[in-house]
Amino acid sequence: VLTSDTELGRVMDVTMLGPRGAGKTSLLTSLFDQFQAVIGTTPLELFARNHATQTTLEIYRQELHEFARGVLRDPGIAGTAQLREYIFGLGTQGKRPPQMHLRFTDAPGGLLTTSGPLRDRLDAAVGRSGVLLLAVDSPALMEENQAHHDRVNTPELVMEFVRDALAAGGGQRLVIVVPLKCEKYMASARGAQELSDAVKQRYRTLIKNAANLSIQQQAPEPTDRVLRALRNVVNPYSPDDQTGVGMLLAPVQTVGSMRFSRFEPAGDGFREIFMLRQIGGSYSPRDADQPLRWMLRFAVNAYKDRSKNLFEWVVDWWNETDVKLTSALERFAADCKVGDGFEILVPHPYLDRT
Amino acid sequence: MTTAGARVEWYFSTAGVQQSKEYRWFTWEERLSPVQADDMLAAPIAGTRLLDLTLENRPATVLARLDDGGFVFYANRLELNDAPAGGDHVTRRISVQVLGVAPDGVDPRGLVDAAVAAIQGDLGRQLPLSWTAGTPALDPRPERWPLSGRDVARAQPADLTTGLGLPRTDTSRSRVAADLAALSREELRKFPRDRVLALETEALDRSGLDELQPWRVISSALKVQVTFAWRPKRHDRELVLICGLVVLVVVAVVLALVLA
Repeated sequence: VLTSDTELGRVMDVTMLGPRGAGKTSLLTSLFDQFQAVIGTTPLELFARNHATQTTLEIYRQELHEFARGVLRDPGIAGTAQLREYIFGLGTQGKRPPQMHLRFTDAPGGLLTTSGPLRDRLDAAVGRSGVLLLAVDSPALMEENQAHHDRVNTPELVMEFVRDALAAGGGQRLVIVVPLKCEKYMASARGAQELSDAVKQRYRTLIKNAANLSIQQQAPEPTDRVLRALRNVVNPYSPDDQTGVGMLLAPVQTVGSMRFSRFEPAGDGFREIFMLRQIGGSYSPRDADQPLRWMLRFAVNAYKDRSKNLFEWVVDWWNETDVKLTSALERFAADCKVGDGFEILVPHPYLDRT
Repeated sequence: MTTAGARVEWYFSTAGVQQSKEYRWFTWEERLSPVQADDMLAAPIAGTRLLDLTLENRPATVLARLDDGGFVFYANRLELNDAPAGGDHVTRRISVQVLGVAPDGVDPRGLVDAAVAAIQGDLGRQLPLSWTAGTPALDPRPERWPLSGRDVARAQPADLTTGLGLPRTDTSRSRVAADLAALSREELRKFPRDRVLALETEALDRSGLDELQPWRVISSALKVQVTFAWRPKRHDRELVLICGLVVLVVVAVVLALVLA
C-alpha cells in the first residue's frame, strides 16, 4: 500500500481508471476541494506538492463551480490522451516535508487497448499502486436498459485489465469502484440500491476475482509479526509475500446540483445532457471525501501491520510519523461511510476500523 | 550537420464526439508513429519533461532546442472553429495539440512560425483538421501547412545570451512573437542546445521559471518584466570542472618534472 520513493519518501500510489469523460478529474478536484471542508479539528493537511498540480486543480475547481451553476459546459480534460500525475503532500499540519505523499495517476481510458511507452508507464503506475480507483459512468450503466454501458464503460476490458494487474502485483490492494455523475440515482434510497445492484451485477466477475485473491483471514498473529520483523532486519525491502484484495463501492456526487437529463444524438454517437436540479443550484458535492477516508484507513492499517527495520524506526520517530500522523489519520478515517450506497464488496482486514 | 532527406515532423492530436473516438495522433507520414510523439512529450528539456512545461487545462506553447541539436514545438488546448460545436460526448470542448520536430540540421523556422502563430492566437485557425459526423480527419492537402519560415532583415543580431520573462498580456505576446519572428536561421543554429527558446505557460511558478531560464517566456507568475542572466548549465559546469582538473594535473606533472 505504501511504497518508498527516492524523491518523495513514503508514497501511497493511486491509479484512476475509467472511460474518457467518466469524471475522474472532477472526482480528484472535488476530493481535494472537500478535504479542507470535512477535516474538522483533525490536525491533518493535504496540499498540492507542486505549482502545476495546484494550478490545474484550481482551474478545474473554478470550472466545476460554474458547471454546477449551469453556466458552463462540462469541465474536465478534453485535450489530451497523456498520462498525468497529481502529487499531494499529506501530513500533520505545518510539517515540512510532509510525512507521506499521495500520487494519483490519471489514466486515459483508451490506454487500456494500446501498447507503447504510455501503456508501459500505466502498467508501472498500476504495479506500484496500492489503490485502484475504478470510475464508472453512472448514466451509461443505469439508463436505457444499460444500452450504452458496454460501449462507454467497457466493463469487460476494464475487468480483464484490473484482474491481471491484481494477479501480477501481489501485496495488499484496495479497489474502489466509484460510480460518478450519480446525483440522479443517489437522490433516493431506491435509486442508490438500484445503482448498487447494477454495479454488482455488471462487475460480478471482477468482484469474484478479487474475492478469490483476498487472503480472507484476520490480521497476522503477533508471532507472525515477530517473524516478519526478523526477516525485515535481514532484508528490509523483502516483498510482501501475502496477497489480499479489498473492494469497495463508493458512489460520489462530484457536483451535487446537476442531474443527468437525457442522451442526445450527436454525430454518429450521443451526448450526455445534464440539467440543474433546481433553479439557483450551486456546487454541493457529496461524499467526495469518502474514497480518501477509505484509502487512508486501508493505508493506516497496512502501515501499523508492517514490520520496520531499525533505520525506519529512527526516521519515523524523528518525523513523528507513528504518533501524530497515525493518530490523525485514524481520526480522519474513522468516518468511513457504510450504507446509503456505500458497501464493502470484498472484505479485507485493513478495511476494518482501526 | 545536415540530415539528408530529413524534414520537419508534424503530429496533430484531437478527438471525436463519440466516447470511443479518443484523442489520438494524426500524421501525414507513415514512418511517423504515435509512439514517437509520446516519446517526444516525455523528453527532458533543461531538466523538465516537455509535457510538464504545460498544463492540461490551459493553452501553452513551447519552442525549444533539444540536446541532440534538433528543435521541438508543442502547443496544446488549441481550439478550431471547425470542431463540433457541442463538444464531445459529455459536452466538453474538443481541442487540438500540435507537435513539430525538426531533427538536427533541418531548418526549424517552420516551428518558429508555428510558435509565433500560437502565441498570437492564430494557430487554431490554420490547423489542417476537420470533422465529419463527429469524427476527425487530417486534411490530406493542406494549403497553409506546413508553415515555412523566412528570414527577416534586421540591423542588429538578436541577443541570445539573456532570457526575458514577461507578464501574461497582449503586449507581451506581441513582443515575444516579434522577437521570435526576427530570428534568422543562422541565429537559430547558434542557439544553445537543451534550452527553451520560447514558452507561454502557467505550469511553472517563478522559481521554476528561474530554474528553466527560457529565452522568452510569458507567464502570469511574472507580474513585471524580468531578465534571466544565463548561467552555465550543469553539464557546462561539469565540463569546466573537468577542464580545470586536467589543467591542474598538467601543471602538477610539469612542476614535478621541473622539480625532478
